[in-house]
Amino acid sequence: MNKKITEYTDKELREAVDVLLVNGHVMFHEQYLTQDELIEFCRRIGDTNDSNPSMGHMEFNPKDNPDLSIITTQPVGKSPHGMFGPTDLVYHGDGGMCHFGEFKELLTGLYCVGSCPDTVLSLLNTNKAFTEFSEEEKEYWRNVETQLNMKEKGIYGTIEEKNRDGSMKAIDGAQEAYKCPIYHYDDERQNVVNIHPYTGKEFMLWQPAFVDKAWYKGEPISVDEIQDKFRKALVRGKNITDFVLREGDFLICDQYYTLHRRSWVQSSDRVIWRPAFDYSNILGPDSAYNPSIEDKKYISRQKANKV
Amino acid sequence: MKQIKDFTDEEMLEEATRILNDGFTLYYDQEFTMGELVEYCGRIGSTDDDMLGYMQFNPEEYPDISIVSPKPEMLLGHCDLEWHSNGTVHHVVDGVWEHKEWLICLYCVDTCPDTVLSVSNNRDAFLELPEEEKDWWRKVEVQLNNNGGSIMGQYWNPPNKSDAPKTARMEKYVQAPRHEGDERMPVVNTHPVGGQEFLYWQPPLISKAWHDGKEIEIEPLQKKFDAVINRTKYIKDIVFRKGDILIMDQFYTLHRRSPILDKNRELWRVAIDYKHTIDK
Repeated sequence: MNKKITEYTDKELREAVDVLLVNGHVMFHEQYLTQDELIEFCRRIGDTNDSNPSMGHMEFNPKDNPDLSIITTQPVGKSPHGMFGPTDLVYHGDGGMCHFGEFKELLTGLYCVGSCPDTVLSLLNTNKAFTEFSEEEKEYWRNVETQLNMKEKGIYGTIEEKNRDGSMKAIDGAQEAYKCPIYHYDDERQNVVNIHPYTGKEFMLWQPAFVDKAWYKGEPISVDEIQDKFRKALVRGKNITDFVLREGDFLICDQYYTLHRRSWVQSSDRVIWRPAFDYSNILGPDSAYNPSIEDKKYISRQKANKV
Repeated sequence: MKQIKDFTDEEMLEEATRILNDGFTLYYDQEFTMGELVEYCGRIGSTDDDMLGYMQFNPEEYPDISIVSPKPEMLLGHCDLEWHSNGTVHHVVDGVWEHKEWLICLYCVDTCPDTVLSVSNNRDAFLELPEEEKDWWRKVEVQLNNNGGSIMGQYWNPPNKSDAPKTARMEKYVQAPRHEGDERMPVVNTHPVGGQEFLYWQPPLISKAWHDGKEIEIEPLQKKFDAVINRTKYIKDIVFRKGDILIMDQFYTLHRRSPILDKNRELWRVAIDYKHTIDK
């Protein structure tokens, strides 16, 4: 039996976070946690309150533990299934269409309550990929900028799957259903290569589902061509760690260093509890995140909803 | 990316030792032709498969390769495969194994991002058990047979042979053995080259079981096996991407595969032994 993470000393917790900062992820096996224990552990690392105002009030958020989202193909509350349903999900980081510095939940936790042996989560580490580029390749990517926005099918494998997913609705009486966190207009853009606020190391922000515009050395370039370059540079076995989550596994992944894809969920037994959190309680504030972005998000959501 | 086909003899010996020590090795971004792959594997050991080599999925020019693909004429189809190692129904009799394909090499020509191969290290899982549990397992024996679906999982549908453009060249095909009566083998065995004990589990193929000489029920035994071996800490999950090459020891590891969703997925599979490196 592995040591329970709920019994970690501060030193052991810090060592685990150090592994996370080096590898982009950390995995704990055979934990067998309650929801309360999971949230309590995550809060030792950071704030588990999701900055998206609708999260915490969805059918897949348990009322007693709204900081968790339940991922399953089975009914949750009045929803036909938990968050995202059974569909495959294309590579994405959980910042979604947020640009660098526009979201605070740098960590996603996935705790496995029940397993599907046929479902694989592939974790792509862009920090590792970038570190191993030639200097010429690094320089190329340092000159690329992108604008991210919600696109037709989002992170779902197909538009049909997106339309089929009824999970992104708020519980009865809650203020609103899930909204696109932010929308970028005109020439708003971000660098693809950024500096991680806690390690000072470079990584690449790629959200294949959300690249709306792209620039190289300030000039607009084809989105299709840059997506192809991203794919060839990043989607390689050496950059990717694959996981079948089994009962008691708890994976934490850094959303700046890694993006992830999920294959179809085949088994109704698969249940994952997902907290989103940050590093603030163990490493201090995120220097790249400006809380005032939340006002901009609110305004841009209102504008986007009218588009 | 260093190409492993350029390994020196010394590196090749180290590679075989790594496979034995770790249960498997995995390399990325490798470029092999069929000829190069057989040559590479042949530097580790004999690639002459004593059962395959004459099937429609063995290219005539390179019969030591089996093409694993969901296409109807190719090996194993699209379905999920239950936990197994490639010894399948073969027993160990008087310390000698009934089969010689102790290593399996899988080289990825084309990928399916939704298909995962899980490789479990049943040696480490056994060696880390308390002594009392090890002793319990040392008294377990099983009889292995094809119980109907062999290693095929729940998504198995027999392929429509009429869709297959090629047929097997069966003239030298050797059928897997059928074990009768009380024929049996111990589940704890010693690796013929590595010398360490391991727990041999072929979940879909157990047809009888004994503990301390007395016949026992299979289902509770399967659950006990599962609790020991099917644990993430002993498992490496692998989605094959173009250029990936995995070589795994079939005594120290077993593997399962999820269903294939992309019909383009293609692996080249070579069965090997250690005869040209650490078992000379």
